[in-house]
Amino acid sequence: MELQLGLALALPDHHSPVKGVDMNVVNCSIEKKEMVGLESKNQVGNYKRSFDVAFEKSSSTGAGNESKMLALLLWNDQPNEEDEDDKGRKRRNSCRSIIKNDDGGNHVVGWPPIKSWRKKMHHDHDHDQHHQYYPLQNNQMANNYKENENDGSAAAANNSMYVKVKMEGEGIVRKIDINLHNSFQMLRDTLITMFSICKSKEGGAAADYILIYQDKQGDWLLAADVPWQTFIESVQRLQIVRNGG
Amino acid sequence: MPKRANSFPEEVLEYVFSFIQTDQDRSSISTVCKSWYEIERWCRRRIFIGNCYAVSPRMLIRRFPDVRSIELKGKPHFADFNLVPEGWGGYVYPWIAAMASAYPWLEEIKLKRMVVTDETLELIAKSFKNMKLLVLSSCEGFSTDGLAAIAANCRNLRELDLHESDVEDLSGHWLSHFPDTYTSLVSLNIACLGSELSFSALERLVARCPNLRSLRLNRSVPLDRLANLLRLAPRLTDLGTGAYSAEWRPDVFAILSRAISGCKELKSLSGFWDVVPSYLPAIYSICPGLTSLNLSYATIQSPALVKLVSQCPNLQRLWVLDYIEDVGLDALAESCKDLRELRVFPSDPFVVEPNVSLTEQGLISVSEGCPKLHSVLYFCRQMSNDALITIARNQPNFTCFRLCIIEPKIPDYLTLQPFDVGFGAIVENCKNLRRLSVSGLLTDQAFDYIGTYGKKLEMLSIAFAGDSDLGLHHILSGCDNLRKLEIRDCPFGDKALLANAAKLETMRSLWMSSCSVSYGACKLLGQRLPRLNVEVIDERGHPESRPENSPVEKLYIYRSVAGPRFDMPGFVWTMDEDSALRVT
Repeated sequence: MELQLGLALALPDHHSPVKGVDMNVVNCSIEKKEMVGLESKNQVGNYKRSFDVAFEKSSSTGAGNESKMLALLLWNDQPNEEDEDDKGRKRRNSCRSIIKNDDGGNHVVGWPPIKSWRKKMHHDHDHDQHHQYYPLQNNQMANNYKENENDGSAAAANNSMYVKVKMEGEGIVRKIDINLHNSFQMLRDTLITMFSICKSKEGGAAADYILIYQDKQGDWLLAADVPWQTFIESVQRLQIVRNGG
Repeated sequence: MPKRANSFPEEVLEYVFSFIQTDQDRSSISTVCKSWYEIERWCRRRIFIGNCYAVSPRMLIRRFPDVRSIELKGKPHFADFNLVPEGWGGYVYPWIAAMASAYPWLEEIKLKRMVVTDETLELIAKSFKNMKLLVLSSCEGFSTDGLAAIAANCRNLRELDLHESDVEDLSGHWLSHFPDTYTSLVSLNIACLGSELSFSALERLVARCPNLRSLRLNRSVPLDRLANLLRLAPRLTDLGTGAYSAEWRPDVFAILSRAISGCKELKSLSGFWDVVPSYLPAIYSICPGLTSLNLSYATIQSPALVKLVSQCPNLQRLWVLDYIEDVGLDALAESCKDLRELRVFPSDPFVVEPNVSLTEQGLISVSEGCPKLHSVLYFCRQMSNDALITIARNQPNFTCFRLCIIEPKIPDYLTLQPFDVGFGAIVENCKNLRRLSVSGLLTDQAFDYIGTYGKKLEMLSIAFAGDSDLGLHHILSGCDNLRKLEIRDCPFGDKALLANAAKLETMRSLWMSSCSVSYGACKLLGQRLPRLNVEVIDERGHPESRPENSPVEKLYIYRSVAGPRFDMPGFVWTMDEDSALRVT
């Protein structure tokens, strides 16, 4: 296992890389049933490290700090749903992997869990490009997620449309979902973020690059020359090139 | 240190060590004493790194000076389902660059879910004269130009496998870059390539490589060219057809049948895109010898499938679409008593209503009829606790059980109850279960069962399940051998993670997306556990721009002795001591 590479290096005089102390028994107040289960693990002598040891090493301040840490780590048997309602619903909001679409239905990214490659094979075969996501039918689920409508997630069409983006001078070709965007500015922002790590070594600003796209006829055109709607209907791939050569 | 350990000459010890192959055992040897550590590290030839960011190339090379075979994995598993944003990482170039000078005798490179560029492939081609095996599984970032470099330069290449990689197809001519003097090909898998290959180059290649045993073609290779290729490679054991369709012509059929029957050693078949059913009987002659059949792209209906599997009594592995239906799985259970692995994929995954008659009954049949069945991946639209209990009782030997009930959060269709007891029965009865994927409506109770009984569980996938942190706590505190945990869209938050933080150091990785883990908790974990890389992935911008208790989009935690990585894109942040100070 990969960690053993380093641990064996660091602790040559230990037979097993880590001590088998079970921190749950030490620090947590949990139901008796679970404690029995946990205690028996000590005999197995596996890799669990005690919290104390892990925290002592990195903590530079005194006992006050440690007790604050332990408090965060104590497992209590209070269910958390009801508690957190009082603290404000905001806490319970999580980011759901939902893409809203125009007709009000919700769709789920990456569900069912089928490899993208397999999906691609199906869609090449099947001319029905209508769905690439599983639609949420369960009202319960839809209700839970309604709170997140203010998240500002972009409204998207039913299908995703991934196009390849190549940046001049970069070996790696990326892909982005055009349908998650609704304007050139948004697209530009995404591309700037996506390629930012590459750009830093060149030191160029965003204005130094222009975006071109290949349309259905195979011609390369300036992205900003056409209306957005025309663009998304015909774009096949994108390229970012230097302005002025 | 007693002198006993050194009483054997090093050469003898090295010879003894050469019989010890598994990573765990070799790690154990290396911890016996300093001299064994030294001897072992000089003679270790094979390295497996399950997470390329867990260790650095420099550390690898420093410890193991003479490696001949390396396997690296990059992105987390959920990248397969588009949950890991493009640009996240997994670049192999730094590894290849480091190994180019350190391991000139490197023979094997196996990569999974990594970003491989043409530049990387060119470097491989140039640096490793003895390169024999190159496997790029679910990789991306390269084009057929890179493949041309490999073909042109790797004189000793035996195996080139592009399993399900995303290759930029610039031209089919890369195949002609294999020189005429190149004859060592044993295995070629190019099934994932999209464009048309140069057929004449392919035929000439196959013709001059007498040791070719495995050939997986891509969809562009038409059926009428297959016969020719098979005649040139009658000793094939593994064949992936191209498109299995042509206008019906009896003479074409006869030629194809004859060519296939000439391959008497065929054990494994795949491909079968665009199947024209009338050509299926061409393979009947070799069916009795088949141990592996992948029909997961074949849109053929149940009767044809039944006819086919009934002729494969020695089948051990079947991958198929749900067109097989319950009736086909009944037939499978009748005919294929040696079946070890079954995968049933959905033909139309994005509709709610069933398009085929495949239910829990099919899985019950095979669990009953196939005593050696130990690995299952099953997509279906309805399931019941009773069925799961029956399945668990029928087949306690499952090592891998992945059930995907297509609609998230639906209950047992008979009782409308969650599937807690059903999956509970699976983990309780299947004592050797190493991999589990759950689905359907599940409460925290399900995870209590999994934590209690899933003692050998190494990999667990959870989606749209659970009620609270208690669920996650059960898993983290109960599953002793857990290495990989991947979770999406579950109401799991800070508490369970923080209470079980030390557990994370005993695992390879944890993935959580669309859950309720707060930025504050991520920071805490990252700051306090220096041997973990806590990566926050959030495409909404820096988490500092939102409240501390605001949940992060995605979280990927993995243990590492290499420290935080430096190749992260703008939407990934590593939480460590400096994370509070760091600005985008």
